[in-house]
Amino acid sequence: MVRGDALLLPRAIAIYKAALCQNYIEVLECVRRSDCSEIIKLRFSRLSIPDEPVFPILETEDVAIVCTKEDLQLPEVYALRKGFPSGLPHTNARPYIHPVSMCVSDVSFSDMRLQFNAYDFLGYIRRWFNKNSIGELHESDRPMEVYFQTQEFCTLLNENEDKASCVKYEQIFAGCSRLGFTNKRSEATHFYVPLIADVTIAQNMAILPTVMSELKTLKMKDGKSMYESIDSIVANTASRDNSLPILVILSLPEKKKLSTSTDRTEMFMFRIHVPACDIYKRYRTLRIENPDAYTEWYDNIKISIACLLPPPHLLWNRDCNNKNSNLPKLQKITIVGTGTLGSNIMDSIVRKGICKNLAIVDSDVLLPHNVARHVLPPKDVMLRKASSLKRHYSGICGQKIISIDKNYFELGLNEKIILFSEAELILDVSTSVAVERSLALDPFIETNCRRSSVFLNPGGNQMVLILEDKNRTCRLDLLEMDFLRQLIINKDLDEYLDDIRHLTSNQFTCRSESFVIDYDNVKILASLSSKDLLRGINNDAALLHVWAIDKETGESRINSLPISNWQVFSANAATIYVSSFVQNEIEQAYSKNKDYETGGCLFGCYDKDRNIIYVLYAADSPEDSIKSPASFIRGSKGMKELAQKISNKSYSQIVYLGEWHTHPNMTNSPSADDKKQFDVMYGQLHAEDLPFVQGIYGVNGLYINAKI
Amino acid sequence: MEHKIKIYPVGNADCILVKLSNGKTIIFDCQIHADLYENGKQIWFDVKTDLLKELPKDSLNRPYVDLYVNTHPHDDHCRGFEGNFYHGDPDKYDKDKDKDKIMIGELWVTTMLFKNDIAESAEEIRREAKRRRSLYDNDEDFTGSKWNYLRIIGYDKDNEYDNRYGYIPGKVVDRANGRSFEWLSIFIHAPFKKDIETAKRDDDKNATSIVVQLRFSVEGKDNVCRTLFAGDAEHEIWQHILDNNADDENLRWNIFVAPHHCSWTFFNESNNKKDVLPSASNIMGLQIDGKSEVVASSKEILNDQDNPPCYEAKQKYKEKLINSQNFFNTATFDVNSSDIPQPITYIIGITGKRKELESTKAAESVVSRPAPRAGLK
Repeated sequence: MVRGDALLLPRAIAIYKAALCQNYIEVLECVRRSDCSEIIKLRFSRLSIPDEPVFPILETEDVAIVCTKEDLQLPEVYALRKGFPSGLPHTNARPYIHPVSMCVSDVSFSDMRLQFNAYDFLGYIRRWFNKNSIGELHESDRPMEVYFQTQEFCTLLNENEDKASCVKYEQIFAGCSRLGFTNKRSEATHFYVPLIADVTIAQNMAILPTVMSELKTLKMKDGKSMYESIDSIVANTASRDNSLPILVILSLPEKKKLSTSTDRTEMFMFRIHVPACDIYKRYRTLRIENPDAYTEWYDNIKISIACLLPPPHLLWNRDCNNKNSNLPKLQKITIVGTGTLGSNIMDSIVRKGICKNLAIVDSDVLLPHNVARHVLPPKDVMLRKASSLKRHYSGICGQKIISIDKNYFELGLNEKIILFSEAELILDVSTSVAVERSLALDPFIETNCRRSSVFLNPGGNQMVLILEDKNRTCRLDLLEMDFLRQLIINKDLDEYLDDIRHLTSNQFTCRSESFVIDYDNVKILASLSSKDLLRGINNDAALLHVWAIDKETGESRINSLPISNWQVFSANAATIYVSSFVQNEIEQAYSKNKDYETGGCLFGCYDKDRNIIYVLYAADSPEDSIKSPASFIRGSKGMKELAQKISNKSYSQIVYLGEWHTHPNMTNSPSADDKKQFDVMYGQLHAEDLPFVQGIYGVNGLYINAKI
Repeated sequence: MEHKIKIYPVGNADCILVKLSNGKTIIFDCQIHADLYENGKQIWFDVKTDLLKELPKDSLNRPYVDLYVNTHPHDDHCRGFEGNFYHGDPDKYDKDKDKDKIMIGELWVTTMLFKNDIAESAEEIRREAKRRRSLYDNDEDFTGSKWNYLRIIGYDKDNEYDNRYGYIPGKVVDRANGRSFEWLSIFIHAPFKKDIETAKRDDDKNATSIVVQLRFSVEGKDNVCRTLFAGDAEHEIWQHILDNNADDENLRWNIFVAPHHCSWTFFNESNNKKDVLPSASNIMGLQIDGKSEVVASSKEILNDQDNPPCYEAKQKYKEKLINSQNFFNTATFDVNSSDIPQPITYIIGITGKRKELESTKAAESVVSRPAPRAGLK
């Protein structure tokens, strides 16, 4: 055990401090383990639990938060109470039942970490308990939770047209496999048993079954139990010598509680680690001699379950774009991310012959449902996208493609050199803020070529294109900030996040992978983006465009957004970028209030990993502010609502950063009161794991002080 | 589908908002301070701003409440009515002069409101009640209309009021402002005829407090939550209620707002803190289960001589609760980082009632309060 103030890991320290300043959270103890991870045990009280909770969660619950030295994953959260219910929605599958591992956020940590906030993180935990207690953690309009948790995806390669009794099961790599029906005994790996379950009510409580007893509550469509169904198929079909283990394909129709008909059908495959002849033998003998022993034997049979994906039956036809003249000819382009949008843009680039060399990086696998929008054909299902794309385009005259099947953040130095050296354009289509930020700022990528980032809005009908200027003065991260500012002030972008506004899960980025991408829209937007991008490359200036497709008419329109200049400040090891639009806002306020001090709040983003703060918006003084010739007290009327509005419009990206005020007719040097304000407010915000920025505007311009 | 009850922290006073999932609203009593600040520091929760956020607006963009209940005409139940609720001819509402004044669909008052000697803050409520009453009295065919509905709870001497605008104990009400509540019914327990006469004689307005049981339904499940609101009703009134009550179900409760701001008068006379009268024990015995809660709408309850709130009363409530932890005080239940108490908010859903704390994001508390002074000085 260690004292809270003796914790060493920055993440753990932030969480500990945030816990101290929150009501109804008590720090129980802190522990440091031998692997240098640190655990903070907290007691959450005054949880909002109803009289009849859907799951037996109490008004007071203890949790443990585990922070690792590597800090590459979101801190793990465990519910510690011995009787805490297992299998709740949004719990993580673990090899043990207790303590229960809670999934408090479905956002990738690499995207969240730049603005990870310990105060809000504790709020996620509270929300997890509150929402689960009323059965609403899993929103009613979200797709149903899977019935079983699985750690493996398996796709069927064919349909059983020949009524084969065997299958060939092939593991591609951990968590990924393929299955094909076969009558060839020489290639068969399992004896196949098909089962169709009766319509079952979806529980939103997924378990990871590891033994047969965890499945036997399912009733089959013909009224038999699962064991009876397997027995009857094996006994009637398998020979007594069949030494192949059993593989069951289970079709499970489900409906929500209030539905009158099936809402969806899931397919699962589970391998029973027992040969068919064994089941056959025991069915004939043990079941009759000692039914209890037979059941007990069956109950304890180990199984391996996988989610079964149906065979892709859509053939996707690619349209070919014809070329334009006047297109740039580059030596090399590097593309990070080859998903729906990335692959379509790549298709455009390759077919137009824009560059001689193309380097692509992506760790993702092509899933059957991707085929509807991706350029890759069905034969590449369950294979890595990047190398498949390389194969897909091989043979195109003069086109050299390098592919690396890896997560961007796991690239080694040599791989980075292969990908990025000599590139004239680096195109980020990864949908990840973290990747874009790294491309913009990280010095290990030794190339000063222009970067670009393209992403869709969650509704899939708008697309943002960001392109740096030739000199990289308008960097990707700064253009991203300009875009975020426009999200909160530009009425034309009011609908950008519309499709996900009603979701209340802990989403964190306004470029989430679009969950409803219309096939036509993605093709149109990909074409528009590649056209726009290539036109932009021919010019030196930066670009910040939002393309939108009208949902009704399909008409597309472009919105060219204004781009800031940025003033850079340094303070307390932090770098602070202040948008020129913010400076204008403050200057205007200064000009209007020459006799009195005025001020307001500052809003923006921050990047903790890189100690950077971006100031994007200066709000005007609330009406209850007190202004005098030599002092200013910023009021609070309407501020909470404004902060909430800004947060909603930017999907929590833009947060309150600090305060600004003016020194009419005087210099911007901070007075004793200003210094005191800085110390007091930094203290308050630091306790909530936030930076603080103070701006003072005087006759000699803007002064900035900040601490992150 | 969820309903809401918000018990505002207004010191030794009452102000309660009920908001149903279909948007219909009820306000019990009013306590809105003109000045939220003391010595430059905000000390009161901004009830008016919160009400404006919660209440719907009509087609002319005026905020309104479907039903306003004035339990009795004491200042701690009426303060702030004049400046914040519209009274007068609804057609004369001036969108500038009367901006943000809340329209009242239906007004419930007690008989005592019509006596001369009432709190100054109750006078406008009386004026409004008289205006509405005259519409009924001047037109025997008038049965109420938008912004003009009235109900007087109680008796007019020995008689019941005109049944177009009178309710008496025992009445179950499931509509107001011309529309059904759908998910709520209100059982009226008091005031009784005898208590009204006694109150008039002794000028005891507390004795004519409107006492009601609210029964909330959710998605076809009845009585998901039952609450008792009783203004300042004292022990005699409770005894009369028990004497006249045919069915305990009308008195069972999940939430009980302690009458008269946790005064001892619920348990006995103020000068007898040793004995607890059977009426109090019986009412406390009607808590539905170990999750039933008592809320004291009062200032902080300290072990001193004050009454209300009365420390001994608090102890007695806790003793009588199945779960003694289920006693809450609006002054202390949830205090934000600026030391301003927040409302006790109940959400009533299919899983029962739960208390909901206002969730805050990082920096919200900082941006929501005035910043420390800055400047050249």
